[in-house]
Amino acid sequence: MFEKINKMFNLNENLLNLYAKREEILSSNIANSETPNYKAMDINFKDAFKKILKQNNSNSFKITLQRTSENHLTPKLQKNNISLFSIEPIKTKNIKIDGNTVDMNRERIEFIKNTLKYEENLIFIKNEIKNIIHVLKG
Amino acid sequence: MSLFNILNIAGSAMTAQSEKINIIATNLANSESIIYKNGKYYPYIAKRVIFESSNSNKTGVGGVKIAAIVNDKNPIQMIYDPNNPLSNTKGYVLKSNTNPITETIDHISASRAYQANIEVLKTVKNMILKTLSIGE
Repeated sequence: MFEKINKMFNLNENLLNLYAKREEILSSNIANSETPNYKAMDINFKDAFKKILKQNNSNSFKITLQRTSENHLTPKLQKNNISLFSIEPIKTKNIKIDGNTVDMNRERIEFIKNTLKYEENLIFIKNEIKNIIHVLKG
Repeated sequence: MSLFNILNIAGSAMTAQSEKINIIATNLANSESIIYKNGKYYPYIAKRVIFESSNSNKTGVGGVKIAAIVNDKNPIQMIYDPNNPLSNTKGYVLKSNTNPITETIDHISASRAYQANIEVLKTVKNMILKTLSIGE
């Protein structure tokens, strides 16, 4: 049963992680808006989401454990590691004289969008928890 | 947790920008200053702050730090003022290369960047609080 509940939250959990990571990248772009030679970064959302969906569809749900001794067993690691999102520099023609490619307008808007999506996901999770509690209470 | 890391990133940017504003204030305040060094008088040379991205990991995501504070390369002004006790034999006085217009513009852009980072901080704080209230 708990496995099923786990799976229910799996997609939203991974999405929250993705949005949080993207928020970090966007805030880094805003922070470095005046740094010479800084290249604005972003996550390729399409690829990252595909990765998440792939992991979500594969049934095996594994937790990696730290090995502190040679005698510990090694679990078979899955290939797709969610934490490795591909972070790439944005392709843009808008390059400042000092080599900086941050476009403040874009960054601010993406930041707000990303925040709203994160909060939207939180509400989905909250509603799922509510549903579970309804079922449990009967 | 990456949300807490954002606080560090925005915080580092705020530190860097306020240091820049600090240097700008120094430049403006000292635009008429004379520095006495090794028995000679020199005009004040404007300072410039150079930012650098402080990415600890390979991804290039990270905060800002101040790489260096360098002297402005603008030429020093020479003004003809023979009555000034600091003038040289030809009657010229060296004056600081501080440009009030550049400083003012830099100040506006630095304070705007500071404000943008404060907005980031506010938003992220709200996000963390909302995340903590899951399941209530």
